[in-house]
Amino acid sequence: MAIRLGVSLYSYREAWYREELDMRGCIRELASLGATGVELFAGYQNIGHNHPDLSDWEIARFRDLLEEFGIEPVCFDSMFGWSPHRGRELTYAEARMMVEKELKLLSRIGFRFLRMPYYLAFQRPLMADCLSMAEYYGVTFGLEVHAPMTMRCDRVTSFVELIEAKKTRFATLIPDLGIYSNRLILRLRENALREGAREECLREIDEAYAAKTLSVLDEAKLSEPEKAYLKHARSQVMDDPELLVPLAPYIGHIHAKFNEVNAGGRDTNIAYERIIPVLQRIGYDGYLCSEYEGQAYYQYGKYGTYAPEVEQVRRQHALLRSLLQ
Amino acid sequence: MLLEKYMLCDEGFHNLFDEHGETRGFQFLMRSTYYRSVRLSLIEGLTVKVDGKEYRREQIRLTTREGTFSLDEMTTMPELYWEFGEKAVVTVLEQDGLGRGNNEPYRKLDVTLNLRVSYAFKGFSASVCKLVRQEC
Repeated sequence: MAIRLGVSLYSYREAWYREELDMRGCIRELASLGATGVELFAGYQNIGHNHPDLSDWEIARFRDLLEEFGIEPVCFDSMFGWSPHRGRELTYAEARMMVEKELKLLSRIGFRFLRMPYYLAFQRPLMADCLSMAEYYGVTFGLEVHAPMTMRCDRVTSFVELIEAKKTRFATLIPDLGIYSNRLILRLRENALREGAREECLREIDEAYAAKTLSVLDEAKLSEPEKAYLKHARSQVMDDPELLVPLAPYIGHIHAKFNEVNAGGRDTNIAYERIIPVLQRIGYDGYLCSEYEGQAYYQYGKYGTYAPEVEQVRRQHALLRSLLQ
Repeated sequence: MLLEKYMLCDEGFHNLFDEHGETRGFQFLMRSTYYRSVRLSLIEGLTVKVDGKEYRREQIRLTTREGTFSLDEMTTMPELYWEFGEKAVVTVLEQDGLGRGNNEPYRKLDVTLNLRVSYAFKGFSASVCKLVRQEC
């Protein structure tokens, strides 16, 4: 099996919010891209009401829609919300029940992966219970490796130890490819310039980012927009794609994060040309689900424009297909 | 904040009349600016001011697809959601509505939404002040 392409509908969240795309519109767009998988993020594009207690009819309607366009459900990004009740936390039994309801829903729809929030992944007794339930429902728990995490950070190591200790097939890593940001976000840099940042200071930050010397950069002389750019730089990481190699058995799903693919078809931020060959070499045969997150950088001032979400995902798919050939 | 420019809708801001044609309040449309659907029980506060006049918590009702509820009622509703992007009707019960005889076409609407969210210690808060056209 080769690497397959999908889209997280999180990419289209503003179009959805503005009522320009409905579920059918989203799935039709995926099919037109030649994608075969869909990822959903809890609380955005809903399949039905009263999550996680969807009716059989709501689920059938969604499954029929996917079938019509030849799309399969891949991953669901869960956000449980640990404080639904005013004035108290959930009890252990309530939390476990909340996770079980989610697993049951995902298995009814046919999702293979549940991307869990960090607060669940590191609650060990609860996580152990969750893994036993996961096996019953046939849904795999995924820990997202998102910047500023890297493939060698403590959380990843400790999660891999858990997978080994439990000898389970129902827990996996989900790298978010934003951890391979070899350049800072271009549009953010342009916004900083518009707010009065000095070109030479931004260049210094860019160079320090590339040389991994941000921690020794002298902050005192920077203006506010320059400091904001530095803060952004410190939240980004350029991990080494070769570190995927030893972790290959633990990678079940991937978020193909991106912020901008320019008109020339190049990702201005993330090193896809370095990542894809590594994924092919390790024989990764899961999905790359596009996750467009460039919306925030379009909200510049009072005359901000909308991010071209649909067009950006199309460009990224064209880029990924050319690299996968 | 990402979605604040969408929070207060340009349409749907008007007086509310009873069957005798008397004003009994006013309504406007708003969307939650939290980045995903919200459990109704997470709504800690919704404050409304029109031209600087603030209304009491007990005067406010929120209508989503789930029904019309007071703020106190919603604190007990963890299973019901205000969906991402869903336009909810906010009703303020006020005998004088938007003010008899005030025919200014644009009124200053100032709204703050406070949510109790589990990973943010201080919760989530969004505040928007905007001139909105009064329809009647």
